[in-house]
Amino acid sequence: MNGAFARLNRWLEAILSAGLVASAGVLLGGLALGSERTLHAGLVLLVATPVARVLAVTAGFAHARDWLFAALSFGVLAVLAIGTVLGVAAAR
Amino acid sequence: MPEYPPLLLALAGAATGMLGAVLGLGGGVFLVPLLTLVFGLPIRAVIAASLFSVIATASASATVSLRRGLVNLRLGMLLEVATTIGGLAGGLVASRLSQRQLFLTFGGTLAAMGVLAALRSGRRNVIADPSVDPGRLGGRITEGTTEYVYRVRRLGVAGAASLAAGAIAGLLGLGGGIVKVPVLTTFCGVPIRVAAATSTFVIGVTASAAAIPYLARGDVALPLTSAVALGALPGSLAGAWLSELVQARSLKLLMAAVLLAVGARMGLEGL
Repeated sequence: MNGAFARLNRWLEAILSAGLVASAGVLLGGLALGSERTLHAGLVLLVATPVARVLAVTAGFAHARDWLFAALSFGVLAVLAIGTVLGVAAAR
Repeated sequence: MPEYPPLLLALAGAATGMLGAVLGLGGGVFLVPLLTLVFGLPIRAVIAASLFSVIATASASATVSLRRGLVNLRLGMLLEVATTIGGLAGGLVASRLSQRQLFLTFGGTLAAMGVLAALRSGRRNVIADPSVDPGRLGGRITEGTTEYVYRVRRLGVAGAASLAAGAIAGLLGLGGGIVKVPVLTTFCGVPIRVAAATSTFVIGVTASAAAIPYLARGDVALPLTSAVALGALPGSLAGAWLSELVQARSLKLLMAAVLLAVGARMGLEGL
């Protein structure tokens, strides 16, 4: 199965790297400026990085017509969405 | 809450991230004891900070293992369904547990996993005959010039362990690799390098699911969390490259020893 997903692997690697570089940059800026809002934005970016990765895996499985696993990845996205909604609701 | 310079906190994140990546863990298993026992920071703030550093550590080392073709994507997604549900539940109920209960849960979990890892360190999960069909969930890995096949067994056990791993992640600020890796290698036939790589891949999402409620509640010490997560990034990249140089068996024994020692120390704190 490694061969079949070699291209998807490279995409996932690129998405994770981009997300990490972006959040690290924002967090560094936030620490340098002493800005809590910037730090918060950096942490949101950091949390979003693996979520973007799940999106890509979902698309990758769908592209390979591997519907069972595409549905499973979509389920993971749904759980993440529920977590956000419940977390925000608890904060109110 | 004591204040520390961001650089010192970043160094703590780097050291624990590196050790974690060598062992295929998120690093939280070392970061939480270090920041609570040595730095004297409150365990709740540390758990939230640890979750974010775990996201950074796991995502960074996943980039390395993806390139090596060690991540089993199908198995990973299957485990993710369970770990995100567990992670979300853990992240939501963590605020209801006392400091003492958190320390005891932490110590007990680590000690149990250490015993499991020590008992089964001598097993090999690979089949040397490359013509064997790995099945839909299994796969192939190459070590040196030899190709090995592995098959995944007892998916129910893997799923239950992932659910528990996710809950532990949300409750204790860990990635949950300390639960998944020993169970996958011991009961499910997954070779340790694939188990560690796939677990790390899954952990980024598990920790995100657990971190989302903290972030949404505004329950995060921002400078502490940011410094630790920033340090964890380079540390874990270094660790992921280092792990290539370590033998699979010594990896398992090192993990067992570390889990037992850290678990005992954290448990004592709760008594």
